[in-house]
Amino acid sequence: MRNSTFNRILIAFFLIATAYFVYVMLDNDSPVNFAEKKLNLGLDLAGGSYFVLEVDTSELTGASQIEKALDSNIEVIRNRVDKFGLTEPVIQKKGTKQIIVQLPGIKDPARAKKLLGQTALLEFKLVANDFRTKRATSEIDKYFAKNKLEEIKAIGLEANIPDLSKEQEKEPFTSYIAMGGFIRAEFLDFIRPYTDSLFTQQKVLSQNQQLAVMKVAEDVKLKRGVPYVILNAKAELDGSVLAQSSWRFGGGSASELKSSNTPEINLEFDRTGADLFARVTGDNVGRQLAIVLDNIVYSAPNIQGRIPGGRAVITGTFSVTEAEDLTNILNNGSLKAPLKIAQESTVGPSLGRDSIQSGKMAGIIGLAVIFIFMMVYYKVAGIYANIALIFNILFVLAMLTMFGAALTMPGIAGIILTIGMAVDANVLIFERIKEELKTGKSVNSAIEAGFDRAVVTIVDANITTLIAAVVLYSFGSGAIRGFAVTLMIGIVGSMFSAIVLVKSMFNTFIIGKKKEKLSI
Amino acid sequence: MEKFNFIGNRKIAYIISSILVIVSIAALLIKGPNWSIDFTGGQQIMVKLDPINEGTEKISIDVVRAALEKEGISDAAIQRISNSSGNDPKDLNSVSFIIKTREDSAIEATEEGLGQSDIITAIMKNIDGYKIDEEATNIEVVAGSVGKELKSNAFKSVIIALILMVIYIGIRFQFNFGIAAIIALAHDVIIVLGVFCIFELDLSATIIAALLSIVGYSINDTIVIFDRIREDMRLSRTNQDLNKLFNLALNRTISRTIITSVTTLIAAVSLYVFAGIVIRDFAFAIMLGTIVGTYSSIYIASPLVLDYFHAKSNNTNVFSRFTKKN
Repeated sequence: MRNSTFNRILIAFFLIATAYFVYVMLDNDSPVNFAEKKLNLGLDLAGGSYFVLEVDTSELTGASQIEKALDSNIEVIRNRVDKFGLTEPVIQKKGTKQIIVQLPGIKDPARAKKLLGQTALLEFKLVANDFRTKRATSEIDKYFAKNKLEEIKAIGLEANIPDLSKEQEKEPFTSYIAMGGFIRAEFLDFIRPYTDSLFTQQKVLSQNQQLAVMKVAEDVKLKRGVPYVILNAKAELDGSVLAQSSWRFGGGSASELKSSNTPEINLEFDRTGADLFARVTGDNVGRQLAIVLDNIVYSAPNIQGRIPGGRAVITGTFSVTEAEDLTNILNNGSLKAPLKIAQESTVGPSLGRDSIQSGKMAGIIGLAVIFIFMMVYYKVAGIYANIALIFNILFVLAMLTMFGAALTMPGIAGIILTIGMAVDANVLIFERIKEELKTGKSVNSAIEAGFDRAVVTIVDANITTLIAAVVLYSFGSGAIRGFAVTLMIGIVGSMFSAIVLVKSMFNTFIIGKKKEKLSI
Repeated sequence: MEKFNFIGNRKIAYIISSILVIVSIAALLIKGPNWSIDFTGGQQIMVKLDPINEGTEKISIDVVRAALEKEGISDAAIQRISNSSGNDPKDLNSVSFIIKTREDSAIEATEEGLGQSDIITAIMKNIDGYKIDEEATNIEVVAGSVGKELKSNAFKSVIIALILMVIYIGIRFQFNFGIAAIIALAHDVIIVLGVFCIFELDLSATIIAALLSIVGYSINDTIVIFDRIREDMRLSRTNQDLNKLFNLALNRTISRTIITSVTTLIAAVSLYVFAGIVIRDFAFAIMLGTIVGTYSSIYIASPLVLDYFHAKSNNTNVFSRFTKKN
């Protein structure tokens, strides 16, 4: 029998897909890697930290309040995680009060923990006046021009920005790192440590000023960068004196959507807060008061007059989402120690490397022994089975790359087990062919009968294993899923390779060549 | 063709299996499984301690224990492990430890940030002359609440997997085949659990994964044999001896059964020996499961179906049900 056209197309499809993704896996930077696929390593192999943080909701009532608290915590955590400059951090909600944080490749988990759990600090700070702002920025210019020029040049080169001109070298901050008041996106990682604490530590700015960045939407950040402001370092008030905040549409209540124009934010202070706020606003009419969370300015409204009585309104061009985010930050930004680690898993990078090494070792040795075993026992047919086996392993790796799934240590175990189990389909077929040969059938009809009869068994047997793998996937967390995924892909691959690939090898090399004897 | 008398010896197998299952259940009830921190909550920390000065001796387990006890951590299980990456000469006197405690260890946030594991703190505070190699540190902390949730999920998933399999086998074969297969599976799972219990090995989430793959493997094995029995029943004449037919089917599939077990065992053994401490218990469970699973599909699952047929009906009836389907 010849190979059917359908089978040929199927084989071509599987082999090309496998070859492509294995190639892309080995050479990420290759120009043919259109979709930028790569084989991700799980935290247990790459090293890194996985946290499940639980928000203390004991003092909160109502689902919406809890959800808001969770959202504002995620916001705070996201800002802090940004500081590590990791390529693929993951922050997500889990259930009603948990947050999952994954930090692959983090070098210093102890510092990460410190930053993640720190009480978020909501503060009100005055924006420095024009004169002081000018002086502060020129101080930053001088400091960078003197100390950091090489580093800045290197970042510019990396990001393909034209090199600094002679003038820019004198004012690297105001004319190069920042353009028209916006810090370029390429320099955000560079500038971050300075806004956090370095300028203060190095006493770069006189008169107790600090550099801070504004919160902006992601697309603005990518296109134009992030605006900066110079603040008075001393906080006028902190979040603890804020009783509550809400927003509504200006000129009407939130329910009267029609009469609305833009949202306004209402602030309500407690008694101490009200007194402080009245004094601060009274002393600084005409200036801007910045709302600062974790050194990021969320809004900097103008003080239009002294505000007594502890009730203030911020007007401006807020969108509804911005208004919601801001009130959320105002209400929840200063929760005291609201987080705890419900689960932590930190794997040092060298442990990860060891695991990869020993996993490879186990795989290669297991594979070699099975290879020899199959060849000794099934001779030429064993070679076919071994080819199918190699295809299988490559297929699992290719599919992991295609789906962007992470390879974990249990995943490696899954691949190695697949090696052991994948030969099963071939063994079933070969044993059946042997049996048929014993009954005196010709080579051709023995092969045909062997495949026909074994296929039913193979499908039945593999579907039950697939059931186990699917259940495992839905139950499992991280590492276990890695195992289930490789098991599932392995099952599909081994069914294909035994029923289609090995069959076609028999067709081509035995039946096609009209061989009288079969080495099996 | 008929080399082995599996069916004739099934009573012996029943007795052996019953003893093994009873011992395992007894161990499970009396000792209870050694739930890992995945399920109970607690900490498991692998830490490598390097001497700061050259020529300092390897640190002893007693020093570590004393350091922990000083901070009031007295119930910790400490295990000294050989260094896998010992090729580096500067690692010559480094030692790794696995330290476990089972208290509910959710770590509260403080003003300065999320707290550090108290085990790490105790080591940093109380051990002089050695420093922790952060690169080779593995920290697992699980709160009790998280563990409870995982435990109930694990139970559910094993039960769901079993039910789905009975349904599938029930549809493809007959219901009694499904029941026999599940009894064999329960037998495998109970014995593996029993062994873990007796040897006080940790029952972790990864081991649950291993159990489910054992279930998958064993059912695979069982189905191959069932398939052959079904095929032979369809082909044979109605007056044939059932015992003989079952035994023949087992004999016809035995070489496949053995070869597949051997290759799976090769893979599992190579994992056990080479893949490092992280995966060792997992590999052990798979090894054990492969052996028990192979045994049970030959000596438990198929004979149970046979005995069910014997008890329920005469030969003619049994065969007619198969021939009708054809």
